[in-house]
Amino acid sequence: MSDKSTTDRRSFLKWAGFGAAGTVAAAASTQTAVAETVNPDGSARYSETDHVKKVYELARF
Amino acid sequence: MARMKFLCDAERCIECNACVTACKNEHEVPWGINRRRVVTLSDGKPGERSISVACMHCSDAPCMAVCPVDCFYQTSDGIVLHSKDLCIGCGYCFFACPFGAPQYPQSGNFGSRGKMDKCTFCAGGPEEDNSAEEFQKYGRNRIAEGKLPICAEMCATKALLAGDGDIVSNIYRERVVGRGFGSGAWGWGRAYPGGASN
Repeated sequence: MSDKSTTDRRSFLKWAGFGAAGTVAAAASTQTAVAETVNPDGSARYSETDHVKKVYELARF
Repeated sequence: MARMKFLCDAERCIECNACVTACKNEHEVPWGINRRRVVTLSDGKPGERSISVACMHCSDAPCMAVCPVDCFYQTSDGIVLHSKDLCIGCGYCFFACPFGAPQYPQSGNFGSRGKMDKCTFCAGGPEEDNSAEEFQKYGRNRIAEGKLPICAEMCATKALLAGDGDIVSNIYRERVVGRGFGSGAWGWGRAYPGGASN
């Protein structure tokens, strides 16, 4: 009886350890995902739309 | 490839501060931060001039050079942007910037600085264009909407110009040629019929 309860406690601690490791791994992967979303590509954002052309035209006075 | 530039025509700026107000309103900039401000030289004296100043999106930006966490990046059209996720608020960029563009919100009661904030040329940041996250961190992304910075678009006298550097400089050149300078300026002969020298 005493041996059984000891085993149960050990198995609980073992699985609890696996759970904690899994949580840490999940958090790390989330952190990586956040870092990837803020990775700038530096591509051009400007385009000479009709709106922009109108602004240039209005500035010529 | 177009290169984005600001140009302030000091002959036209009337120090109305509308560019400052429009910027704060458009991007919902927090208290204590001015991404743009108007500087007046020789205030109250003959020859007084005002210029509207913000981040000039330098081609060889000193803020980028000194940043210890490398949070700055430049788009291929010359807009200097930064990531607030990487910024540590150290203030090096403020010391490096000749225009005093970087601003810092107060993050604590003992003078600690928050993440740096500056003019984005209304081009947002590294987050997805026009997303809520981008707006919350960097303000509106008008460039992605096919527009130009709000400060220049709403300038009443069109003193502040923004956009493709080639076009903006051409507009300014036309103005300078049109209005002349000194004795060649428009109206000079009427003001000084005797032919006063400059």
